[in-house]
Amino acid sequence: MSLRHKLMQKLFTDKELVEGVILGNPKFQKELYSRYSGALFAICKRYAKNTAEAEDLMQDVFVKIFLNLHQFRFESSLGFWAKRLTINSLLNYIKKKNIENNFVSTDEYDNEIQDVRINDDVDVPYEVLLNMVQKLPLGYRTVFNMKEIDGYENKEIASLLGCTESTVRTQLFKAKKELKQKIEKWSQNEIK
Amino acid sequence: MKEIGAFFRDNFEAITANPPQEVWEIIKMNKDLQNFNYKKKRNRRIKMGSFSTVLISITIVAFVLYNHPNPKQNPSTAINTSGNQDFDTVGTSSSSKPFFEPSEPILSKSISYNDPLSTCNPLLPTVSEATSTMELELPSSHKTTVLTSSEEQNSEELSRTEKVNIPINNQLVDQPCQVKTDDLQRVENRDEVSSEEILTEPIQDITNLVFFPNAFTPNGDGLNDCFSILPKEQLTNFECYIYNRQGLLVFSSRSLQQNWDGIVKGIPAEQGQYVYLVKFTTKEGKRMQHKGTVLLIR
Repeated sequence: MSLRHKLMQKLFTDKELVEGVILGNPKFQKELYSRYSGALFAICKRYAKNTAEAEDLMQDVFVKIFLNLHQFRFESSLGFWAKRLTINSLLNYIKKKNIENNFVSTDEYDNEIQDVRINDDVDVPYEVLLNMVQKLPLGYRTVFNMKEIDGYENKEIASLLGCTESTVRTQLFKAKKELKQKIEKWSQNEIK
Repeated sequence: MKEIGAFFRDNFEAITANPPQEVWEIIKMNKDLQNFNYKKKRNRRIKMGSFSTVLISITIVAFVLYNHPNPKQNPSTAINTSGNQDFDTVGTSSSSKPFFEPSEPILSKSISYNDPLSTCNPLLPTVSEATSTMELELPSSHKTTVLTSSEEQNSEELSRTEKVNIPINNQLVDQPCQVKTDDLQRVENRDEVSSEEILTEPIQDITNLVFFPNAFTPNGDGLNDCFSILPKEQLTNFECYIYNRQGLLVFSSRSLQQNWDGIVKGIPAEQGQYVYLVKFTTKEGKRMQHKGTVLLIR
């Protein structure tokens, strides 16, 4: 990070930044991008199936942020607003891919849903964990990300994705089961 | 032991990942963003838009009023102004017969035959254009012989190009038109086909002319190291452009011998899909273009 960026960060609050972007200053645009791109790209990576798709999504997300910035009312922090907007636009993208095939409701696991637990000792690097999440099927991945990492309620997820709550629960359970298997397999390979 | 969701949450929470520089470049280049300037210019644009719509509507109203047919106009002057080209107004006057009239019965005859051979009959009646004496060459004897004899020789005799008279704008124009043998076979398979359909359905499949590979492997093993386009006939004015996933031009060439070897500015390109745009002129002088994707595998 250059000295100018550090100065910019100290000099301007979020409010000044937003006003600057609305007035059409390209420097403020760049500053807003560099301030939030890191966190938002991490989110995009989780929801996408690979880095290339994440890059494509990232472009759409930032264009949307800039186009909707004048609607930001300063009721929450800019970071939180940007995160919500990102997830919403990601969900729109996912919905377009004919998600009905990926969210087939099966009630067979409904009664046996429990917490899936793993050993806390294993220290898995971030890249490996990210790869595990990316390799999940679209439905599992979306529900797992929304529920466990971004903290949505089951009800919210069901209404946002247009499926039933039991579907969300089963998808989540299957996702956790698959992730557990993957982590165990990885740790076994590491020990060898 | 730890719940798996919490485990992932702890690992993912504070993580930031810096996107590559290209992403920002593309966001900057976005057309929507460049045209969008929030509130002020938006209002101005709306004002401009309303102003221009008012202007356009005024001009349209004026145009309609000006060109509205005046029913009180003198009929004799209408005929004089219309001259020879406007046949409708001439036809209403009883003095002269319109010379395009004979075209209609000929057309209806050619359609009414159910025999598919009749649609590609080389002996269709030809009308010598604009004869003042209104003479028609109707080779009725020829026609009957061709239609009754269902020998295969007749269909074999048909050459590739045939002369068919098409009535355009109520005038008979001698216009040669190309009928491929594929078309003829197709026509023969159908039960009923009007003569117009053959003329409006030319088969132009670009893959018959050129072979576009859908993948290549620039790993130096001598097999498919280049993205080489293979033409089946001679092409001229060849152009080839290859773009990457970001839409940036990666490679361009103007000759068929110069092929892309998967290297961009001295650096081997990434594995993945690339989009190509190929333009060329065929033997017959037709300008064609083709878009597609090619997979680069290492």
